[in-house]
Amino acid sequence: MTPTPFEQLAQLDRLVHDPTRLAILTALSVCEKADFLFLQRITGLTKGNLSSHLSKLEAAGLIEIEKRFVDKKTQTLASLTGAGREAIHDHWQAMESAHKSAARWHPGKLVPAPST
Amino acid sequence: MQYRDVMNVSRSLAAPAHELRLKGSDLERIQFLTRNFRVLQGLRIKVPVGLALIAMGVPELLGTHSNGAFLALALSSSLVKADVYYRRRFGEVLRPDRRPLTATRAWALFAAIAFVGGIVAWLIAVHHNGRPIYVLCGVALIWRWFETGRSPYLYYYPLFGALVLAMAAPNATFGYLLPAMRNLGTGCIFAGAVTVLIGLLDHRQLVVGMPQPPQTAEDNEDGEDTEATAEAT
Repeated sequence: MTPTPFEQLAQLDRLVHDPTRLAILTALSVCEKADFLFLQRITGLTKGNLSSHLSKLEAAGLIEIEKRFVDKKTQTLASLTGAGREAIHDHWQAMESAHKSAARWHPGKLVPAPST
Repeated sequence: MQYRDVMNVSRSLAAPAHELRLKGSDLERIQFLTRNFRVLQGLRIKVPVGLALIAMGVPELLGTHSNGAFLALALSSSLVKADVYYRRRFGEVLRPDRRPLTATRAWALFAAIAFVGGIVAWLIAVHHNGRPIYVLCGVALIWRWFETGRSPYLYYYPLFGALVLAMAAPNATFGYLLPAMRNLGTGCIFAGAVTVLIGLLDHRQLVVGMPQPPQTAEDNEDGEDTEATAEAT
């Protein structure tokens, strides 16, 4: 049985679908590497908040963090891993599929929730 | 627009109040700014080149001599300063298609610039009017727009490109409509002003699209990203 658009949306990977992390992954998907300041400016997040999201993405193996020194200051560069590219690609595929399902979807006979 | 449509479907999974709230157009903006980050650094090349064109055009118009060495020095120093400004204020993006500048590529680039520059210089010397400048500027703007994937955000590239190219049309500049535009000095000033304007519009896209992030107590004073190493909450 074909899943409803709601079921498809519920199956989305929350790690990727979170708006903040989706913004970060979207930016990284169209470049090789981006530094911390760029990601902060483009998402409008505070340093701590962005850092937290980057750590989560790194822990999940979706991005790689690289540190280097530029003008005696630490520069943090983030890039998508192969798994990260695959994850964001799959995510957009799932979203498109849900979008198409939503366009075709008609509410059928409502099934009452089982009584407890 | 693909992302806008898709994001409209997913509104049911909206972010909590304290988190970033995204619209589909935000993702488009993020993709556009990331993809065209170098192009949008208008103060880096376009504004200095435009000002140099104006500086060359004014003496030509007034019939005086221009100081080329001073122009070259001012141009190169402003290029370096703008590069540092963008890196410190907006950060840095490395593009996947950025290939290293090998000796072969550097020579090919130099040869192409010398070839085009030579043709333009020859046309200017032969005709001594603004038409070659208009053609070069107009073609460069339209070519740049195609190179960026004809982005609708950069609508002003083809708009101004067509306007500048129109100045090269015989009935526009060489006829009775705008006779003053035929002058080489006027051509340099007009093309320079358009280049400066485009540079400023590009820069505005970055300033508006990448606003200053909120500062919190946890952010350090000198803008270093030492927080990036912090553990996930």
